Order: sequence, then C-alpha cells, then structure tokens
Amino acid sequence: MLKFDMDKCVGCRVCETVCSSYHLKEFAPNKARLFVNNKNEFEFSIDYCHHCENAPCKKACDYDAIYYKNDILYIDENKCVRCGKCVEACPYDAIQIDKKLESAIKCDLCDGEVWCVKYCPQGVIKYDN
Amino acid sequence: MKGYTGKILIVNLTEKDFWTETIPDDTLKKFIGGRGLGAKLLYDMIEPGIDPLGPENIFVLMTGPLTGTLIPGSCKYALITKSPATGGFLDAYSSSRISGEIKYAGYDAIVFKGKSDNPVYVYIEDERVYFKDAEHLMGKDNFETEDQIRRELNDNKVGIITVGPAAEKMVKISLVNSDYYRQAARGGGGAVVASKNMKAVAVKGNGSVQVDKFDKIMDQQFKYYEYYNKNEAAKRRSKYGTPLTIDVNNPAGMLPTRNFQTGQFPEAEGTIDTESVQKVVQKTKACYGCISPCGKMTKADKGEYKDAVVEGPEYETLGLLGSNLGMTDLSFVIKANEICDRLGIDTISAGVIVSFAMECKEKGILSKEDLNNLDLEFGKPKEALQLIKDIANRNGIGDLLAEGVKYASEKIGKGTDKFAMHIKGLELPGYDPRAGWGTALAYAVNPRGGCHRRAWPPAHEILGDYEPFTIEGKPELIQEMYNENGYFHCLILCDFTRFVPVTGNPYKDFDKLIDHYAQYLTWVTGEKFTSNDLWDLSERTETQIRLFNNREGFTSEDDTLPDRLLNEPLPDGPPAGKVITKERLEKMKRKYYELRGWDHKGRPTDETLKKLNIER
Repeated sequence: MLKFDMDKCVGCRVCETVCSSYHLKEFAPNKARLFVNNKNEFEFSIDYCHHCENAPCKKACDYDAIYYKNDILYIDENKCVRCGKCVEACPYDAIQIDKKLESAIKCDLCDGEVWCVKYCPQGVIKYDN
Repeated sequence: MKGYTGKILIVNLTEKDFWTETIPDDTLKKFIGGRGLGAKLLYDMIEPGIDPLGPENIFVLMTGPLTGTLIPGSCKYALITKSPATGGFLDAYSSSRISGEIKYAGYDAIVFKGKSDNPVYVYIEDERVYFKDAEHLMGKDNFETEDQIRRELNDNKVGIITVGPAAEKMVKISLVNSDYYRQAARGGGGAVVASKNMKAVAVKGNGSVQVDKFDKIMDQQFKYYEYYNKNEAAKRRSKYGTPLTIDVNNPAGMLPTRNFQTGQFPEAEGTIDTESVQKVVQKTKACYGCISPCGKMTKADKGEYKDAVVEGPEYETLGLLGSNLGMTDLSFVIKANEICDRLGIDTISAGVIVSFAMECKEKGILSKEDLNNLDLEFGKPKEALQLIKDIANRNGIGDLLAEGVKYASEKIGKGTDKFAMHIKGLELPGYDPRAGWGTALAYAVNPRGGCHRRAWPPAHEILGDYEPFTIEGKPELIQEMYNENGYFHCLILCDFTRFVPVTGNPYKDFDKLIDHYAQYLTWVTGEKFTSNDLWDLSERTETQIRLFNNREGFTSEDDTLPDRLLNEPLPDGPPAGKVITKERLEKMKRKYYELRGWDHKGRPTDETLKKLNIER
C-alpha cells in the first residue's frame, strides 16, 4: 500500500500531475486519483485510496462495479453508472467522478508502476507491496 | 499547436457577458505566451492614453505553452495591464494554482474589460462564467477573501486570485494575491482589478493540457532530478530561499540601507541575515510542480510581533522593509510582510515609500504632525508598521503616499525628488546600482520601471568576473541578460527553477539553458523551435513593449535613475566614493538602443520592426 512521509512533503503536487499523466497521457491534475491539501500553514495532507479491507466504497456500490484483485480495489468503468455512492462512502475522499470517462475513478496503483512513488521529487511516497 | 488551447476568454464586466476569441497560430509562434503574447494583446486591445484605472483598461491573466504541464517551473501566470503606478506596460508574475486551472479550463489567457456596476467576483469553470456578488467581501483582507470564496465554492481545487482593501482604495502599490502567500505585487495591478469592481477571480478547469511528445517530457523529468542532485547552488537555494542574497549584497555594498543612503548594513548580521531567517523557518514549500522548492514559511519567534506567520520574507522584503528602514528586528519584517500581504500592498514599494518618509522626517521636511503624529525614524518598528497600514488604508499622509513615491515627492517638493527612489514611478528593488553599474542601465531601460526581474547583473558584477565600476561591455551584457530572461517570461518559467540543469554560476551557462528550453517548447508544441527562435522572441518582445510605452508618451528621458543614484557616492564598502553620472548612463543607453535597433531616442526603427515582424 502507499505510505507517505508527510514531514518531507512540500506540496508541489507532482504526484497529482503524474497520476493524471499515467492514466490519460496528458496533464490534468484535477483528474488525479490522489490529492494534496493544505492541512494548515505548515503541513500538507494527502487524500489517497487506502485499498481498505471490507471497503465502504465497494459496499456502497449497487452495481457491483468495485472489485478486488490481489487485495487492490478497482472500478469497472463499464459497470459504473456515476451514481456517486462510492464517492460519498469513501472515508478518505479518494474517489471522484470523471465526467469525460463517465465513470468514478480512483487509485489503481498504476498496475504496479505507481508513478506518484516514482516521480515524487522529495521521496515522500513509498509503495509497500 | 499542442500545449495551447488556442483560445482567449474575454470577460466584459460592464455588460456581464463573455465570449472566446481564437489566437492565430502565427501570432502564438511569434509571441509564444506570457510577457510576449501579453504585450501584443495589450498593444492591440487598448487605446493609447486611457486611464489605467478606468473601464477602458484591460486586465489579462496570461499563461504560456508550458503552463500546467509537468515541466519544472511552469507554475506561473503573468498579470498584464497598463500600470496605474507608471502609466506604462505592466507585467507581474506569481506562482498560483490558477495558472494551470486557466489552461485546464480551456484558455491561454483571460481578459477582463469594462467595469461592473456592483462588486463581484468572477467564477469560471470550463466554458461557464459566473458573476458572483461580492458585496460581503468588500473590505476583507486577502486571506479572509480567499477563505470565504473557498468556503462558498466548496472546492479546494479552485485557483483563486484576490485583491485586498488597499486595491479597493485604488492604492497605486496594491497587488494581486493568490494561494494566500503568493503575490503578483509590482506596479499596482491590484488597483486595476478593483477598478473593475472585481474582488477576485476563481478558476477551475476540468480539462487537460496536451503535448506533442508526452513520453519525452516524462523521461526528461528524471534527468532534472539528476541535475538537481548535482547542482549545489540549487540545493542551497532550496535550503535557504532568497534570503541568501542579503549575505551577497551586504559585503558588496549593494544592500539598500536607510533609503539608499548607504549600501551596507553591518547590523544585519545576526538579525535579518540568512542564518537569522533560517532559525525561524517552520516549513519549506513548493510552488506547483517545483523540484527545487524555495518557499519558506516562517513564524516570528520573539517580541511584540511574536507568532506572526508569513511565507517569506523573501530577500526583497528583508532588504526594503529591513535594512532600508534601518530595522534589525526580524519579527517586525515578518509582521510587516504579513500586513502587506493581507492588506495587499507590494513590500518593495511600501519599503521605499516608508524610507522616503523617514528621510523627509530626518531632514525636517515632514514633521511628526505631517506624518499622522508618528515619530517616524529609521529603526523604529512600531511607527513604520503604522505608516504601512496608513498607506494601505489611505489614512492621513497615507493618502498621499499611496500614490507612490514619485507623486508624493512631486507634491512635497523641496528637493525630495533627489531621494525619491523610483524609476518611471515604480519604486526601486533591493540592489543599489552604484555597487555595479550594469544594474544602472538594467534599471533605467526597464519598461516596468524600478524592477530587478528583467536582468540581474549582480550575477556577473558581484558573483562573476565583470568589473562592477565601469560601463565597458555593460550595454552588451544587459541586452544579453534581458534576452535570457525574456523568453523565460514568455514560456512562462520560474526565474529560479530554470537554473536546475546547470551547475556553477548558472548565468555563465545560459547558452546551454536556452537549448534545454527550446527543446521543451518543441516537445510541447510539436513545432520545431531553436535557441535562435527564442532569442528572436526576446528581441521581439522587448521592442513590442517599447512600442507600447512610447505610444503612451514615454521617451528616452524616462530611462533614467534618481539623482541620488547618479550623482551621490555611496559612503561604505567597495563602491565608496564612486559616482555613476548621467554622462555614463547616457553613453550606456545610446549603445543599448543601438543594439536593440532603436534610434538614439530609444524609438524602434521601421527596419527593426520589419526584421522582427512587428506592426506599429
């Protein structure tokens, strides 16, 4: 799972940008699957998918669009109807609706490549497989 | 072309309507973005002689082709308008979330024109534009305004610029604020926004920036990490931020002190120098996409202003609100910085205006009664802080000083123009040109006025191997440095991040840098750009802006320095006893004009316009 050393985070949002880049091959940080927030003047926080066991998003989905594969949670874009129940259910604000894709989107760990980890200039993010 | 949206959004505050216009590809290729394209738009869209604070003026939020991509340093927007401080061309830059959002919303630029009949803030989400009532925000400071708008829009992904109470009062040194701690501060852009009855602009874009060679840009990012790891200067900047400069300028005799009466402030050591700032840093912050972060969140740790918090103080603020006011109290500088940010005035101009008032008091030209009953003196924080607030609020003498130091000295008379430290009406930043004569020329010919951003000669005259006290070779150097900065401000890239690919003195390796960024522009747009194209872009931009200022009535006479800088020698340090003189400045100017293809009065010739493909 993703782990963050927030003391090192400087709020550059490279993770957001490369997250959208991995999935879209363009630059659209608002379509990222993790988000950097200002927690206060001196600290940042990051909203990201924890790939929960017994995930509330999966429970909330009436269309069976959220599924586990090797303990990682995925969204089946073909099944998703954009009802937004998973967005509401997620305790970590880690899911959003992409209007263009017409689906809910969330972290899929870049199919193992994990670009936010690879590109973070400050070494904040680690992937513990 | 990729990298661009090809569209500008025009927002007419008078009619509360909006539309888009397309920018032809050949205009984009010629002017690229930022400063260049902004200069072209401003020249074409406003009539000469208009009131900068009238509805005829426009206010442009400009991006560049690299904005909103992963490319390091591409986090800036440029604010382009006719300056109420100078009456000439104004470009002011800031890092902000809004820069990328403008592109993601589908625009290369947003132009605001006219004047609303009620206070509004404009909210733009993609193709939708909302004129939102802002009556309840009037009088609120920049932080409160941003807080309130974030609550109302309930979306922390929105990019927001705001103006503070000083702008609402048309203070000529008022700024545009964003992301709480970032300012496009110089030249009074805030007042232009407020003159349109506009309190803020919020932009959210759900689209993207598409580039031609996506994989190349993603791969190049790792090279930049390698460059950074090998670049000691970049790492030092990340560690200390811009306050480092104070330790360079002080020994060089270049540090403005007590209204430029001297260029050395020995008291800075252990009080307002690099190490002192370092001790109160709480957190390093990066602008969007930055790989060499230099933002420093500080908190005042003692005295009356304990617990004041600001991102900064940057070098310029330490200089102008520190040494230039004779202050040894870092907590004061942090507090004054915070007050300037909140009320929305430029710390550089505020520092110069307050130091001017202090010298007027010192010389017996202004009395305590004239100065709102303040016992104003160099080195006295409380009185200085009150005067800063009075300027922002136009209270008493603050009403006059809010017009800028040029106007104030003209009104006060009594020879005060000799120590009114401005060029073309814009107050001077933190480098005394008597300690390096290239800076004298760089300042004098600057279309924005007293500004250090178009060329930074200390790199060569203090840190490099150019002799500071000669005019030999300086016109060539200044042209080169203007051109080196010129294309960066079109792309738009951060002045600091761009140095990451070189080690040692970055200014010596500019020829290598230009190739890096021509390559990036090619990868982004899909059109071949060479370093020569970027050089031509800088030449074209400078001449386009010269045309604008000349059309507004500026002449070669305006390319000058305050009397103090031309004729008074500095008393301390390496420059002690040396004077620049008007003759030397004129000689440098003549050569500089010639290098630019302008006539002896600084007017671009028809031949030059033809060569640069510019229309009058």
